[in-house]
Amino acid sequence: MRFRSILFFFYGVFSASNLRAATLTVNITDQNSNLIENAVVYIKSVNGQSLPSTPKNIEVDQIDEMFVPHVNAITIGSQVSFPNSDHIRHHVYSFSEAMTFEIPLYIGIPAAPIRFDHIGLVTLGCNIHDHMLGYILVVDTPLIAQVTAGIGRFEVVPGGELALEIWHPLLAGDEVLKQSLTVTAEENAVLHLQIELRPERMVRRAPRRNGNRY
Amino acid sequence: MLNFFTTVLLLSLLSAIPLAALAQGNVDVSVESLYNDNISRSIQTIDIHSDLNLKLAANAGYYWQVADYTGISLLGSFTNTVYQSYSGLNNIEAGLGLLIKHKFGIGEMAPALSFELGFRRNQFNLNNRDAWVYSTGVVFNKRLSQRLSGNVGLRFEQRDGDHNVPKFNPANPTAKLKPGNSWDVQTRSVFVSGEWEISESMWLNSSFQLQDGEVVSTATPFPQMLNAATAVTFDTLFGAQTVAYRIPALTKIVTLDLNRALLAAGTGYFGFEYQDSRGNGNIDYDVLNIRAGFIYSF
Repeated sequence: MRFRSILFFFYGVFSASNLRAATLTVNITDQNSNLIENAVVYIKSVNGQSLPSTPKNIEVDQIDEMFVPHVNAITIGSQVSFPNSDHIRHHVYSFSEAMTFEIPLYIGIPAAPIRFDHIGLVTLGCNIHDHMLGYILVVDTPLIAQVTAGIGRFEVVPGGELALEIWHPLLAGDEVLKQSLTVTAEENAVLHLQIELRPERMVRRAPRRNGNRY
Repeated sequence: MLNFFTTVLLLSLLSAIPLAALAQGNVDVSVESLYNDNISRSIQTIDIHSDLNLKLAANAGYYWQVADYTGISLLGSFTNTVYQSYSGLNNIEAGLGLLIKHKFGIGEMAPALSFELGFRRNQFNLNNRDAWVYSTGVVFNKRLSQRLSGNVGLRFEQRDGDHNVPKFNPANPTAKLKPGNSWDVQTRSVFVSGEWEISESMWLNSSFQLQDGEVVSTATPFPQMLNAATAVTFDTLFGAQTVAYRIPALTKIVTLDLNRALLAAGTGYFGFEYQDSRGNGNIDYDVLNIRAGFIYSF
């Protein structure tokens, strides 16, 4: 387990009276205490056991020359559709080890969704617009929370040791942060994490002196 | 001349409006201030003048992806430059260009080849410099790593001045003149350039250009110049006794700019350009430009 980027954490421990589901809230800030967006938190295993996951199909749209949502997390075997809502054509591709594919120039809805059968990170790009970047994290667990305004939530059964993994595209140093915790009761538990993020990469989209955009 | 300025300005703005409304179009506006330590491009100390200018520019582009790996851009530009001391150099420039780019493969690491063709109209307060400028070129681009990309290219430019050379200079009738417009100039260049991302928001641009062709200087006449020049005409910009002369020369141009993304769509930069010209008849001079500017993209 690598914790270089976790500056501090704590979690709530509460008393148990039965095994009703409890809510685990993961609260993540960056090194400047800003609530972060675009992080993915997932529970890799409970008591060391993997969890059966069901594929879930999603859409990754293209709006204003951006992949929307910018960061996505799916279970293995899920299918992703890549509609293009811009009124210009895009050429979506990925060279990632977890999934290599390309959808040549198109506008609107492509003929078929893409199925993701391997776990890992899939980085999306557009062959026309080099500044377009998107991410699909393929995991083998159904317990996934996408962090919005610094908050990600799970419904968990108290009593088990949870192996959490945290990923963000700007995570400094480590690719995935790992954290284990045991929820011992049914009340709401809160895990506070502070992670170190790299600055946003602004260079690619910035205008150039005497430069043609395309 | 005001009518021409107004017409060009209106045409440029009108052409920019529909382009800005299209997602695949883009409009950039910029402001730049530049200090030139030898604006007359002279070799004699007495003739060397420096000046500071302010340039406002708007560039619009519209892009069509015509095939999987090939795109065409139509580019329009308008520039207004004002000088602090030598107002005769105040000028506007409006141009149109066409760029065809072919990418050899998928992804940001795939190399690309671009062909450029363009023309522009350049009009000055002191109108002996007015000209049409035609240019064409080819550029090969390759990203070498996540942080480094490079270009190598060839460019040809022809500048056709408006005015025929006078038979004599009314202010200096004894000055020897040579037929031809000093501002009818042709240049051929080969260049390499690179871009290095220093951080997530900062990058360096650098280029080296070797230019073979003609250059124009303004100076008090002297025998060495009169023998080497291929055209001499009078030019009152720096005084009644000066002439503009054209000589073939080999020019080396080096640039270095530090750029910083300041906003989501804005870039500030600071840099310099050094020109070293070696002309016929040992007429050699150098020019240093120092510039700072800001570009905003809509």
